[in-house]
Formats: sequence, structure tokens, C-alpha cells
Amino acid sequence: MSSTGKSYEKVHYEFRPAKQVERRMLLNAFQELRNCGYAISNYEYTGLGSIYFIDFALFHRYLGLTRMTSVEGDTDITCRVDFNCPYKLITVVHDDISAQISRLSTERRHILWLDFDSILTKELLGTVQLAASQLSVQSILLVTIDVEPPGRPEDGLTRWNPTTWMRHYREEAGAHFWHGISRKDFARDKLPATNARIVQSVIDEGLRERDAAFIGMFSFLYADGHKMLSVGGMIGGDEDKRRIKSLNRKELFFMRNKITDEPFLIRVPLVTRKERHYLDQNMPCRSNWSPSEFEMKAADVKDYRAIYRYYPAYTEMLL
Amino acid sequence: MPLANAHPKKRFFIEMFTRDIPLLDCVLDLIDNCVDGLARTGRLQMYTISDDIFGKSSNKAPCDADRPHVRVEFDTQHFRISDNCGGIDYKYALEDVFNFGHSTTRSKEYLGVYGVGMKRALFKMGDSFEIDSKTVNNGFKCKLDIINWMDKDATMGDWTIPLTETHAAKSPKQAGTEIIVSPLKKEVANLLASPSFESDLSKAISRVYAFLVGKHLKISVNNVDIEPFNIPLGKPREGKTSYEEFKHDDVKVRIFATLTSAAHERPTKDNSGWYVACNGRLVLVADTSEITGWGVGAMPIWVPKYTAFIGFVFFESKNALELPWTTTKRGVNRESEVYRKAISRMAVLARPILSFCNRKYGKDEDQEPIEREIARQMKPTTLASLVRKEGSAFEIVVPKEQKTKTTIRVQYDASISDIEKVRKHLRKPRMGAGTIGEHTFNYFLRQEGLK
Repeated sequence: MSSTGKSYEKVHYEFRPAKQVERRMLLNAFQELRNCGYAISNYEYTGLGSIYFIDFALFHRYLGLTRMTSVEGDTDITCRVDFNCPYKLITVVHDDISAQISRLSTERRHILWLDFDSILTKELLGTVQLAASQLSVQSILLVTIDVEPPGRPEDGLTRWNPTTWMRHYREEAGAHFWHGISRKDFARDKLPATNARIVQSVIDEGLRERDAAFIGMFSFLYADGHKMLSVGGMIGGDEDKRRIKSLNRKELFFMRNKITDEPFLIRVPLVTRKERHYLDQNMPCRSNWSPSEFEMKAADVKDYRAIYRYYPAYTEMLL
Repeated sequence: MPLANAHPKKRFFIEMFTRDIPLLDCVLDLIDNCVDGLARTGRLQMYTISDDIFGKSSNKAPCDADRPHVRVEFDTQHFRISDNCGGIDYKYALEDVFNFGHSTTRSKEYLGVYGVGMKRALFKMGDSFEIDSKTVNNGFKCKLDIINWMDKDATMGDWTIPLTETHAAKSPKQAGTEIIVSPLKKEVANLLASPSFESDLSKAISRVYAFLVGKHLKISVNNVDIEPFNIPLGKPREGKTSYEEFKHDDVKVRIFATLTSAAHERPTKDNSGWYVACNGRLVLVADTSEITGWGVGAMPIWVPKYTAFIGFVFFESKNALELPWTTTKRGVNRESEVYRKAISRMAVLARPILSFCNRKYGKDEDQEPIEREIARQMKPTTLASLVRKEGSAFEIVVPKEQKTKTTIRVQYDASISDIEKVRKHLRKPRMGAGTIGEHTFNYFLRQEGLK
């Protein structure tokens, strides 16, 4: 498993609006955690920065994180990754993410984002389990995976259907199948929920011999291209559960109590810059509000209202 | 309320119980009894043996001449094990040694923890045995015809073994025990006659007692001294190996993981994997199975590219019953809490080494990854030198200038007749194909003005 695969070649990370909304929502949640007493600025951030380091820049600027490690497993872009590292304070490690997880200090608290771009595999789940075994209490673990059906659509429906998808998952994650699981759980629209349940089971396995639990906080579903699921939460005890429960849920409306809860759908409606200005002037809007100056579906207005605070603005910059 | 019978039957212990253990493990159980002699006389504390291994020297190793000697001898007629490890006290023999299971008051510091090993071994091997043991205070003899003894099983009064008190040893050096089993069971005699049994037993002793043999005692098999297993531990020139320790109830656990040393013989599957020791006795050696977590959860299935991996787990406790070993002491109790906790940490500590092993096999066949060179440079080391005050994870410092190699291997096929033409042209009939390749390549560079 490559930590980045080649997704950095497929899409410019800066033009993934849903992903950026997700990052900003996480940032918002971390700021709230800081307000409720967690020393987030002292946390160590470990992620898969690839050649863009967007999450690193965001968390350094707005959370004040100064201990940051980007892990790159692709040996073909060693120099490129080093070259693109935006801050001296970021340590770039050229190794497997799983090897780096073993090196995370158990004395320090961490934010670890396993931002994979592949579908679930045995190796990927092993890395998640390792993280659950290693991360200290009050650390935050985030896992992102592709939840598109495995295999190739061009093979045709006889070889690309819920039965074959279930076969893939059985091979890669059969140990985490539950009693009564069936091909229905592998229908395209059920894959996010099935993946979340498997990831939860793997995290529980990693925590089995520890005096700590996984407190689910996030479940995002979005698609800038492929449909992606991001789940996350904190490794902690009863006191942490209580503190997380007390977070301002109105502010953090996207938060979840369990990673297996219905995910928060990040949908970014396509609007022009002019439309956006107009929409922003009317935000936050009532639930039945619609723009009077141009046509916009009610569902798009609802989506926009949910994400406008986190929606990135893109402009062309002539360097 | 009517009471149902729940009486023990000798036949169960003699004919059934003995089926669960291989002969080789029975011999090891008898050697454990010898080692326990040292522990009873205060010459060795098994629960601090790890301290010796890790350089603290809690147990003083005797000099060569004073080193106790365990002799194992066998042929197709008899099996004999004798030692001068201190012997078995007569009172202790009367009250505890021949019980099936130990009393709760008995010290739990010994290798003989379950109270079944010696009896099971003797019942497994033959139809009759003799024991002659002497301490510096007293002595006893015992001779038992197992078949006759098994037949008398009417009451609990039949569950006794006759002992004869004898004189004490003249000196501590002469205090010890001799056990002779004869006649042997037919299948045992056949196994003992096999040449592979002697070598398998010697190899097992060398590994199981790797931390005792040659230091705290001498063991010989058919008059050939056993050499302790040379653990091929490696240490990088620059970087760290994996280490962690923790306590779970009364058990202290130390975990080490590293690469094998290049100075030792080429790593093989025989030496690779996890080694698990309980109070200094190795219960698993070079294990690459699910028992030590391979192929489970975060650990991949062991494949040959992981041959250079070597890991050690030490469990130690004053209460040997808390240790995660099985009654044969050649395996672990996977359900024990302390072992389950250790397994999850073993996976974490092994991971960077396995990633390193993966990188030894790069995508580009022409370029040799730098990891291979680093692996070749691993220096031999000892467990003592791998102990850290704080936990550490395996990390190699790759020299910056070595990250990118400046050469690449060029390989191609050329027709033999063309090679012959070049040899003739250069008037060098013995010129090798590789040299011709280099020569012609350099010729091109010079001709084109590229060099």
C-alpha cells in the first residue's frame, strides 16, 4: 500500500472543494476541543502530506501545531516531496505510514490522519489497528478511505456486482464480518456504512488490550471524484466521553456520536463567484429561503447553507 | 444430597495424559527438574535470570570447574539423566514431588510450575524407573514398577510411592539426582534409536536453555556437551532497534525487535521470527506462525523477505503460574491476558523492521536498494546492549548521500559469435563478457565525446 498512491497525479489537491470543506470542519472541531481544555496546540500531527501539504498548512496556521510529520511511502517522489515541504518545522519521513506509527511517542498526544486514497485492504486495516494500539489516550485518529465498489466497472455487471464486491471485502476484511452480513450490505449505497462498521471493528481490536475506548466524533461522506468516507474520533476514557459530549453541537453540527452513524454528506453546489457573493450575503438563511435573483434548487441551497463557512474560494493568481 | 464419584484413576495419568506431550519435551521437563535443583539450593533465581541476560548480574555465574553438570544418556535399553544440581530433599519428596500438581504453599519460583512434568515424562518413557537423589542434608531412593503400581488403584491409599531414605551427599558438588528409566516403551526405544532424535534434542536444549547453558550449568547429551544457541542479533551502525517493557500484574514483559546480524551465518527461516522466554526458558523459538501474531491483524503473514527479522519477548515473574506458558513449556497460552497484551505490542514494535525488509526489494530490479547494504552492515550485538531506559522503535539513519545511487546495472544479451569477434579483435581471447560489455560501453562514450 502506498501512502499516497498516485492520486497526487490525478487531481490537484487544491481543487478538491469537498475535501477542503472537510479539512475546515475538522479544524473547527479541533478549535472547539481546544476551547474545552484539550491542549491541541501541543499535539503532534502526523499525516500523509504528499506534495501538497494542505492539511499541514491549515493546522499549523490555525491550530498552532508545531510538531508535524508527513509520511511518504512512494520512493519515486522523494525529492519532490522534500522540495514542496512548506515549513521547516515539518519533518518528512520517507517510510511506510505503519512503520512511522510504531515510532509515535506514547508520552505525547497525537492527531493522526490516515488519509488513504485506496479502497479497504488487509494492509490498510492493519495500519488502522496498529494506530489504535499505539496512539496515546486523548489522541485523535482519522481514517479516510475510498468507498467506491472494488473491481472494474468495464468487466460488466456479471463480474462487477455486490456479490463480487462482497468477495473482495471477505478476502480483505473477513475477520471483521459480523453475524448475518449479506450481499445486501455490499450494495453500492451500503458500502460507506459497511466500511465504517469494519473500521470500527478494527479499531476496537487494536484497543482490545488497552484501558481505553474509541469515542467516535466524525463521519464524512463526500466525492470530489471518487466517493470517500472519513471517520474519526478520540481514544479516551469516560471523562473524555463526557467532555466530547459537552461540545457545542450547534456549532459542530457535522459531528457524530459514533463513526457508524449516518455520515455527514459534504455536497458542494457549483455556483459562480457572483452567485456566491449573493448567497453569502443571505447566510445563514431560513430553511425555506431561496435566491430571488436566480434559479437554485432547494436541495442545493440547503447544502450551501451547511458548508458556506467552510467553502474555499479559488482565484487565479498570476505568479 | 448424594455425592457422585470424582476420583482420579492412575490409568488416565499413565496412558492418556502422556499422549499430549512429545518425547523430546519430556526430556526437557526432566532437565527443568535439574535446573530447579539449583533454584532450591539458592544458586539460581529463575525470575531474575533476565537481569543477567540484560547485564545486571543478579545471579553470579559459577566458574567452569564449579558449573553443575546435567548428563542425558540413552540407548534403546535405558534412559538416564543425572545432575549435581543440589538434589531433592527427602521431606520434600515425601510431601510434594510425587503429587500430581503442587500444593498451594510450594514456592512458585521454579521452572517445574505445574507439578506434572517429571511424572508425565517417566510414565511416557518406560515401564519402570529408579530415582536416587542426595542433598547435603539427606537422600532417598525410589524404584517403581509402573504397570504394577497402575493396577493397584482401589483407594486413595494406593496413590503413594515407596521411598527409601539414604545418606546425604558428602559435598555440595556431589549433591544431585539420578533417574534411570528401563525398560523403555517400544515406541520410545525406537525414537531414541533414531539418529535424528539425538540431534533434535541437542538443538532443542541449545535453544531452550540458551541463557543457562555454558553460564549457569553444563548439559551434555550422550557425552557431547551442548553449546548455547548463538542468537544472531544485529544492531545498525546508525539508528535504533525496537524495545519496550511493561508490567502486567506480577509479570514483567520486555520486548525486543531488530534485524539479524550480518556477521552471523546467513539468516534462515530457522533463526527468523519471534523468540518467547518465560523466566529465562525459551518456550517458542524462531516462531513465524499465528501464535506470535504473524498473519493476524497488523502483522503480515511471514514470507521469506522477512528472514532478517528477529524479535524477543521475555516474561518474568516470581509467580511462575502467572507466566503465559503451557504445561509442556514449549508453547504459549494464547488466551492469557499478559500474552494478548504482549502480542499487540509485538506487532507495533515489529512493524518498522518489516517495512525495512519490504524496502530491501525495490521496484527497480536494476538498482539495489540502500536497505540491502544497511542490512549487510548490521553489527552483532547482545540483548543487554539493546535495552533502553525508554521505549524505542526501530529506525535506521540512511546517509543522505547514499539515498540516490549514482550507478545502475546494465544488462543485455549478445550473440556468442559477436563476443568472440570482439575478443579476437582486441587479441584478448579470455576477456569476460562483462568486461567486454564495459569496454564497448566506454568506447561509445569516448567516441561520442560524452566522457
